[in-house]
Amino acid sequence: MHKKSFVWVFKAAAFLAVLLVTLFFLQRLLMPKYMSDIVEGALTAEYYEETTGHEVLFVGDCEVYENFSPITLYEEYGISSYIRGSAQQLAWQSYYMLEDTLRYEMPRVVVFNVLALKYDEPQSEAYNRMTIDGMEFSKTKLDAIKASMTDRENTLDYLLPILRYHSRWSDLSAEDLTYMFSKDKISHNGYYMRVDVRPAEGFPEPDILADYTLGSNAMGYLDKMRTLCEEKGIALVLVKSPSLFPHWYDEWDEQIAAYAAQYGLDYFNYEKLASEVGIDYNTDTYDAGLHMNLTGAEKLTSYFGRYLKENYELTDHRADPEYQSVYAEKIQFYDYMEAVQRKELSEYGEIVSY
Amino acid sequence: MRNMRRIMTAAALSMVFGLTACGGSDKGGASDGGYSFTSGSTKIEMGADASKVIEGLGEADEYFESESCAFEGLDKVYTYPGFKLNTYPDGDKDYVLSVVFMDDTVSTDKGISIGSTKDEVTDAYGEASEESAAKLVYESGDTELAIGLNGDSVSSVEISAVVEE
Repeated sequence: MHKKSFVWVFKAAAFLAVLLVTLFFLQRLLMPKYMSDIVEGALTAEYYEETTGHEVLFVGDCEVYENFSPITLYEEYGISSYIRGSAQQLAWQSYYMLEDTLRYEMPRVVVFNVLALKYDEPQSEAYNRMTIDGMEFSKTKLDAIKASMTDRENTLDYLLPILRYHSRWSDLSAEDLTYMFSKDKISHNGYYMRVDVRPAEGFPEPDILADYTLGSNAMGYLDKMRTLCEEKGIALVLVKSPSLFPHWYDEWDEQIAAYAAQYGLDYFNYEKLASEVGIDYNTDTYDAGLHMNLTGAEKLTSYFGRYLKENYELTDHRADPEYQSVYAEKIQFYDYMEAVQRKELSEYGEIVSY
Repeated sequence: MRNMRRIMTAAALSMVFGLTACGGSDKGGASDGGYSFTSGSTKIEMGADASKVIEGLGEADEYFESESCAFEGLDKVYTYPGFKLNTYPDGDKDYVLSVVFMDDTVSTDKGISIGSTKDEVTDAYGEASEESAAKLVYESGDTELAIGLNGDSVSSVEISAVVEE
């Protein structure tokens, strides 16, 4: 009888193990890979592959990951930095991305791009997924999920993504097999490179808003970011990138400036400083003024790097053999991607691989 | 032993059916009974196929398109006299996202325009779902009517579809 019971338990355990392994492989297969399309979805997970620390951390939406180049910061100032940004990364997601980063390292300066403060509530499951799915499991990730979900989402779908993605079986491609367990690197310390040029043209007249007050939920997370930085002895810097659209209202700008003044933070609106930075909207944007291209991002980074160098005690890592070795590889990849994009641009008139 | 096999089979099947039971997608579509806006003879329903609306409205004074942060497809803005029409992409089609009043030459289907009084708004639409000193928000179906207030006077009007962009 005891032997029979043991056999029964063993078989049940074996069955359960096979079932769980099968589900694990199915989940890996069915989850979006973000490799040949919507590559921005792969940004969050890349951070965990870093081997060296970062003294400057950028958090925010596309206005950070397309407008600042950590490779330029290293090459020109020896500053080590990383961008933890993703598409439409909302204020609470930036807060949790900061909290997540602090589980691994302690930067000296955190730079937050303020555009996302215009959103006061969850917006889109698709963008939520691109930001959160790549986070490693932790209480921080759980909190990020809870803060981010739209009405139609539920926590279990995030914890067991196969519940959400099972219907992708009919859309599976070779890419899903190729990148089931490892992915190509697509960013440069979180920076998404584009070398093409599309001059800025006209923009529609800004909407007349019902209320220009930045939402209390979003501003609450800015406050949490500030408090967390204060507790950890980290300097918080607020920036508005020189992107021209969506419109950044003067009323919003005044609220951020007042907040920064109240707490002694530096706030730079680079839309207003664009000419001083040297941004030329005819040559430095790849999508008519919404985001910087490589030359625009490098100009902005070079300008901002000078401020960082002059105002904070940041290490020049260029003399450190470990960083030299790591960054030699990063720079090689950076130069390679730039060359490939320029080649594609001249051959096809557009960038096709990135 | 036979029971054991039945349990395992049932467990496996319930997992499979459990995984295939949910799903579904949110495609665009005109909101039944929600707020709309009429320009000339063209009724603009939120969430409606934008191509038919644009055809009805005729050529816009200005047109602007922008790529979304990451996704394929374009958010489009059509400027007509007195208002802007915003659309969003879903698959290979565009749908009406919102109508935003730009001056006092246009009004809602119940006669509210920029410059109307707060009393005129509440007379027309009743009690707001959300109210503050700066705005009144009304909800109907999958649409929203947001009315900005500057003191007692309407400063902005936006009719929009409630969608996940």
